[in-house]
Amino acid sequence: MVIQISNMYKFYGLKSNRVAALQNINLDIGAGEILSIMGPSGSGKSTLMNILGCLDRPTSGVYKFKGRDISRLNDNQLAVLRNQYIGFVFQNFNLLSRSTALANVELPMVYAGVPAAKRRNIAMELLEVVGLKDRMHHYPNELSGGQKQRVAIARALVNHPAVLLADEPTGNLDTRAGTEIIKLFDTLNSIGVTVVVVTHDSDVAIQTRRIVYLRDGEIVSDVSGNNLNKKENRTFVYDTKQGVVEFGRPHERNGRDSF
Amino acid sequence: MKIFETLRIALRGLISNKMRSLLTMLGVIIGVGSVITLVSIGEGVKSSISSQIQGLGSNLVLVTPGKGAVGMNASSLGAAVSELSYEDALAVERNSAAVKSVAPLIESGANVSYQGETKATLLSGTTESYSDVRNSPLAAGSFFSIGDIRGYRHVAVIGDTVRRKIFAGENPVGKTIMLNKTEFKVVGVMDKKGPTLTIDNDDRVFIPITVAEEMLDTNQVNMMFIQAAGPDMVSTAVAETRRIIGSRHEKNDFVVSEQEDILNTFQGIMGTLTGMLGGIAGVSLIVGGIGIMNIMLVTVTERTREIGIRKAVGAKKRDIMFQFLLESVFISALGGILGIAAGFFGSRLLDRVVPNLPTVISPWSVPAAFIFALLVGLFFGIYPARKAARLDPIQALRYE
Ligand SMILES: Nc1ncnc2c1ncn2[C@@H]1O[C@H](COP(=O)(O)OP(=O)(O)OP(=O)(O)O)[C@@H](O)[C@H]1O
Ligand SMILES: [Mg+2]
Repeated sequence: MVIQISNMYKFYGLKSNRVAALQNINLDIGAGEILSIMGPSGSGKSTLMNILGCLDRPTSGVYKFKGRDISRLNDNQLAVLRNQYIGFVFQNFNLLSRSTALANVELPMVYAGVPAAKRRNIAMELLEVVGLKDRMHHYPNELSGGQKQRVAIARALVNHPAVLLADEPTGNLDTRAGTEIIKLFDTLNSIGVTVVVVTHDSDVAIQTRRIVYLRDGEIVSDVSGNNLNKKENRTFVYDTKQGVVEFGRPHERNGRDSF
Repeated sequence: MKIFETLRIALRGLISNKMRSLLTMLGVIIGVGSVITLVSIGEGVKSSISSQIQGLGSNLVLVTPGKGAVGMNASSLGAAVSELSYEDALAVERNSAAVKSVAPLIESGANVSYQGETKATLLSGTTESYSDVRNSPLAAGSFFSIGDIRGYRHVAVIGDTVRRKIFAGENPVGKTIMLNKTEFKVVGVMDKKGPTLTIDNDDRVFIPITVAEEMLDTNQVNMMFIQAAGPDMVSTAVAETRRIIGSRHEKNDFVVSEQEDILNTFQGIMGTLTGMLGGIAGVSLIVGGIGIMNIMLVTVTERTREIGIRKAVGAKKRDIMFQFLLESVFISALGGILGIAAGFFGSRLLDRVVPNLPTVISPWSVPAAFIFALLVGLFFGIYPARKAARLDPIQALRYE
């Protein structure tokens, strides 16, 4: 298991303003998995991703990354973890506005101590992979939302992360571009990268092999199966009242069912 | 992370806000500039007066009336009542083997005129040895002789300023001038000595001491220059002068001092003064440092999201700390360099505007001011840099 979460809670605010963003989360993610996290707006997806990405700490519960208890790591060790093992694609991109696309992609390698020339080459290669080679000297405010998203994806990949965490990476893309990104994630997954994607798009979710469904901070469903996307005549719907994920057959619900 | 990389990031931070960086730098520029300029004034005064004291002559001993501190009484301005006399001078000259010659001075203000040109000047009655003792050669003619003194002859030697002012181009030697309505024949012209701060050393007329006694109706000598027979005889000359004049006076109403003592005392005082000037200017440098801290705190707040992004992709505390610290040190270093230039410019300008106040840029003030500026940048940069480094990544990313 690359990620093990048990009995985790995350609260925001104090006393009367207290918000339970995550409650009783138990989630194991194996190395090499590809999964999506779904759920309505405000259900705690981003909160969970931030904790998975070691940007935030849970209020209680245990989070183990590659077997190591995150709560025992100091700030510097967490920085190394984020730099070397985790690639994070933010819902709102989080690019440096005063740096070019190229410089943004280079950034994690700067902190990894990669020499400048090598940094440049790797960053250019990755920008080519995401189809932005001709935009590499542009600043974020000169790029479209989808282009910014792709720069952010390239940045997340430069240090060959073991885990790629993407918070709505296709939210700003059209279907075709979204499919491209998911294909890219699939390829990465096929070479061993663990991929976690937050999405509102069932077409995207269905292409992954496991779907975790959150509601009001709780995991209400965690379904997995091989080649979900290859099943014919299966539709993916969710019922916000029941918190049920259905794959064509109404009886397959709640729990880690497999096909 | 490599230092070079951090430097690049810090530099870009500064460049992206040129005007603000420059204004912040201004505090340091003014601080360093004023340290260098003020110290250069102190050093200039020190070196100009020092060379003046050294230029008094060689192996000199000074005798002044009163009990004041070494070289620091008002006698030379004619304020104190002098108990020293020409006879004291003659006695010292006659009775001490360590003394080569003595030049007593009776001084007073006087008007000198020639063919309608009149000028106020300093009149000095002295002896024939003055020129030798004070190491002041003549430009033309010769100094008056012992015979002129004994014969009460109305002869005069004039300084360069007097020559210029009343003899416009004419050769003064052999001409007759009026000193307070008394006729004197010019026998010589002194070489130009140059000014000491605001005092013109060439605005003088010398006459035989006997004539001065008569004319000014006094026998009080303002000061005596005694030349020892050699460098190793100076202390003996001091002792013997004390003994000889002491035996002639009832009270201990005179001070004997060596040129060296005067020089040391003076340099000590000037050193303290210069240090104080530098210190005051140094305070402005600290104010500049507070300016750096202020702007760095603003920068950190403004760039909270940037800090969050950097941390999210793996920047460690020390990377962030270093980045912002380097930025403030860079401001102070660049400010320091520009401040050095400003200091040089300032002291040059002062030389131009106030020619009598010579400035000398002291070699230690430049690196000292620069290093102090660096330390100020470092010190005042620590707090904002720590604040940046301690930001929580997720809080920083959420910052609007
Ligand atoms: N910093 C915060 N302080 C207080 N409450 C917060 C904070 N961040 C998130 N929340 C609350 O926690 C809950 C979960 O938020 P989160 O951003 O994780 O939702 P989400 O599932 O990512 O939603 P979306 O799909 O809109 O991105 C929400 O109710 C939100 O209001
Ligand atoms: Mg979200």
